[in-house]
Amino acid sequence: MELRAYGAIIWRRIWVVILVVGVVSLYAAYQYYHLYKTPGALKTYHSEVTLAIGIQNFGSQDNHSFNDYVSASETLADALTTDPILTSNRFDRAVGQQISSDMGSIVQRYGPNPDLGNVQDPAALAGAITSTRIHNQVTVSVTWTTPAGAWAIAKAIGEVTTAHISSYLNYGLMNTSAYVSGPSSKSVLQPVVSATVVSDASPSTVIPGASANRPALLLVLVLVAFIIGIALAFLIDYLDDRIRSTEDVEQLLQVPVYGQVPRVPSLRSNGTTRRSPAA
Amino acid sequence: MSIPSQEQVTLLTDYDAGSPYNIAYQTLYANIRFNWDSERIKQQTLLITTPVATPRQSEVVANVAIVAAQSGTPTIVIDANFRAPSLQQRFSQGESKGLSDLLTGNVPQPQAIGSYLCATFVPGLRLLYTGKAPIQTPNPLLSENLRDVIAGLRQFLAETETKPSLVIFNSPPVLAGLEASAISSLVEQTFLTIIRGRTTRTHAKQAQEQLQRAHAKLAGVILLDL
Repeated sequence: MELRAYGAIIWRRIWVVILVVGVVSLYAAYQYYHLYKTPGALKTYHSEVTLAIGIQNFGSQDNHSFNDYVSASETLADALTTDPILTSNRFDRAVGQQISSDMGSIVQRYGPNPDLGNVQDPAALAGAITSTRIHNQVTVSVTWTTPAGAWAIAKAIGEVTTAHISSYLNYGLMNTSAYVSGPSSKSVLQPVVSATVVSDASPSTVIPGASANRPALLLVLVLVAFIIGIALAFLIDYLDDRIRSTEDVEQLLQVPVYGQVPRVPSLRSNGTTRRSPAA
Repeated sequence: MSIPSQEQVTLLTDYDAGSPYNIAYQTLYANIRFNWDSERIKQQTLLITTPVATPRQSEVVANVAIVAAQSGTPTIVIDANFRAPSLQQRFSQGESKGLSDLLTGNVPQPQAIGSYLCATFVPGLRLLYTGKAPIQTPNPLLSENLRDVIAGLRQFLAETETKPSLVIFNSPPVLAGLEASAISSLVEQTFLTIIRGRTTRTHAKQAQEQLQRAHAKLAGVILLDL
């Protein structure tokens, strides 16, 4: 009986629930539409390439141990991941140019007119690249709004790095062996840093976008609006002083209801039932 | 009276006898009839009023009276709603003498009261309209003179009718003035018309308290859908 009464209240004030849920649903739909239209908001694509950083040996002048090489390689790999090299404007412009050169392989993999996104924007590329290091191996991860773009960028990073690593890591290496002839004769060796691709750019995989949890939040928002609408319906009904039922009357006045008269029905248009004189 | 009403009273006779609207009034009258000990009270007097002005007040009075008359009960409807008289217009009787003439003058003999009553197109139903004499509301003499009018009507019915008969008052709203309270103190039963979804609890309770102060016998409620 109570449940039926609650149901009657909700039904009577259903317009409140519809209004609240409707307004919030419109807002949620608008927000979702924006997310849907924003590239990378709901889903994004990931590709990565792994590089090994090393040092060429110095030939006859070399008096370094293996450990020196390993240590120097790790230091250079660390510089590649921590210094702003991969996210530098110069590097990212080089990646963009490399992608233009790679169009043949990109078309071969993703078909004609692949959607690469704005790969010629160095700032966008800088925001899409992250890197990690294990010993002398650097894994560069690319998160991009299109699968072709993610793969193309990772591939281009591998190519640019292997071809031009020495220009980005152009640290001077001091030939400490020259100390035998005194500090004044110490010479600086030309950069001998090398990079090789350990694993090629991986196929693009879908990962959740930056706003992937927003649709769920919007759904929760609509559910909360529904609950608020129900609560408002009860509140409005509670504040409404009007008599609604025979139970209301009998409880209020403690007298019986002798009869209930329905609303006045409309007269038939042909007037066949009209028996009283016209007013 | 000179106050015309724009209200259009819906009469039961406009509808089929088997319509839900008609049946609702038949049920209402049956319940009123069950509560009427006609062996003890041959001339029953009722007041049907409302807490605040509603467009359907006169409709309820007219239709209960029509059902009563159609059921074979000689019925007189007294339109005591001087603020918004409406029954005269609906029963298309034109201006005639009525309650105000009885209240402002000397109450005539019971036989002469019959000349104030107007027959209607419903057999067994007569009306005492608001009348032509101007009346100030609230009239301090209303209650006293009205007592004599009611007594005269009872006497008239007792002399002219063999069956138990019914007198139904139509009054202004309880909270609009003293008329309803004054009449309620003189009739056997009072019914409060409440419109579902429109009449507030506050008004209904205030009307009941007002009627109680007048020592009215509030028999029950008539609930209307709007």
